[in-house]
Amino acid sequence: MSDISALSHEYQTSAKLAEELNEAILILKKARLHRRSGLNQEQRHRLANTLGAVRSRLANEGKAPGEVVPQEVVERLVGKHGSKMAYFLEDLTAATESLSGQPGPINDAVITLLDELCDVADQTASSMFRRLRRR
Amino acid sequence: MGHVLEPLLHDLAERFRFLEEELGRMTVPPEAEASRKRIHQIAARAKKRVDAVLADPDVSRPDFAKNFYHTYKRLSELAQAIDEGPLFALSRFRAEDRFLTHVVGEACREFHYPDEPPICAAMSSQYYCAMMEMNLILVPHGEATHLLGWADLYHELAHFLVSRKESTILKPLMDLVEGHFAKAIDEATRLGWSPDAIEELRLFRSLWLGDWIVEFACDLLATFATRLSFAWCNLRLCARMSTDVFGTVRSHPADAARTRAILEMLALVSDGKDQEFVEDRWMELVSTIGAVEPQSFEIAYPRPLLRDLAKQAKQSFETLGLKSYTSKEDHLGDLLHEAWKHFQSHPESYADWERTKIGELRAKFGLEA
Repeated sequence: MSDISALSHEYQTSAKLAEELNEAILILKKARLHRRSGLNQEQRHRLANTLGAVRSRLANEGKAPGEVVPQEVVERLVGKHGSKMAYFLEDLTAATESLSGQPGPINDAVITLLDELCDVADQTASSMFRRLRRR
Repeated sequence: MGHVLEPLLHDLAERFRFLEEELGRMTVPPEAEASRKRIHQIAARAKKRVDAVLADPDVSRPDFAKNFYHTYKRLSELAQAIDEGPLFALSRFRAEDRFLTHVVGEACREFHYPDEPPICAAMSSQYYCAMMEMNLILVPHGEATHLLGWADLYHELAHFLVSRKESTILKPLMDLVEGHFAKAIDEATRLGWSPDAIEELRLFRSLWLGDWIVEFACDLLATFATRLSFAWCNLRLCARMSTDVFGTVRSHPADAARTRAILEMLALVSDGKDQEFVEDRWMELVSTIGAVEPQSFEIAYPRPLLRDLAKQAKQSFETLGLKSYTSKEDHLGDLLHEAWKHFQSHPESYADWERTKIGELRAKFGLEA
């Protein structure tokens, strides 16, 4: 009923997204550094679904697949990419395809994109957490 | 390590050590024991995670720094949330909290809430609210002795469910909203609406897909679970707290729109008379306040969309096995119905009636009157 429940919900959703992306990036970076296996097939598939859901929300494609993407994450990405959104959507498509395709090394562009999304989800979660505390 | 994160992580490890120790040695009433155990385990797991990061050989590498910083932030937020929420509530868990936790448990049992019921503490300065990650509901101090607001407990319970069952509850509702506004924006463009008017449609879509849809989903679930009780509870809350029933804020849709959605759900789970009765009283309230529906209201909250949302929500709740209120089967549901009936027919004697009923309920839960 109060704003707290809504903020708490949005915090939870954005923190979950930030954690999911962050964990995946850590695995990918460690795999490269230590030359060991990275994400397994299921983790790649889940990550591809997340990117697909973000893409779909940014492109206003109606029924978006996969998980719920917090609206503030969408708005922050729109604010960041503005008139160059078409390029960003292309990058998202390419990253989704790379993760959905045959298992193999993930290129730099995908990690950079994941890092950017993770930053935005992290900023959203942090902002919600502060608003919950009214700081 | 020699990195900026090192002392911060040690500080965080110490905080989790403190939380783990406090929660481990704390003695709480039986109603709160499951919650204490759960939060204790969360704190212990988090402490292990911090220790693992501290021991990670890559933590000081520049290309990993930001990612470990993100890990630190989430864990740090968790420590603060435990400290300010459940640890605070559990360390002061009093008779009122025990009683309200039983009430929440009874509500959960009656409408087939599928998860562990949250604990409830009467220590809120923000009306009813749910702390999602901590499985905790906070209500104002006086609510343990006043039951007209209790239908709002179902709204708070709905926040947990909506958050945990996003793909079953929230996703289909968001798809309906997306579909509606995509069509509306296309049509507005085709009809040559002004850029400002089209931008306004985009703004409504964005607000809907943000916090609004969550609030609607929770209202719909509370109405599904309690029928008339939540409808009356909403009306009383609007009368008490609304500054402008048609006004819109980012975090919450307009009270008038929420009422419409509640009426749509009521029409699906109750007989037409109930809906008509609440609607008449709502219209009376709107006319008493002197509020006038703005032109854009129907565009922001189209009635067909509200109707579709109610239908979809009902279907999702049934898919999850949730149960709508059934008279004579649900003790708490009946009590809330009776309360509203008595309150409206005999307001002058309601306080005495309520005191007696709350005393009986406390006795039923094995608590002192």
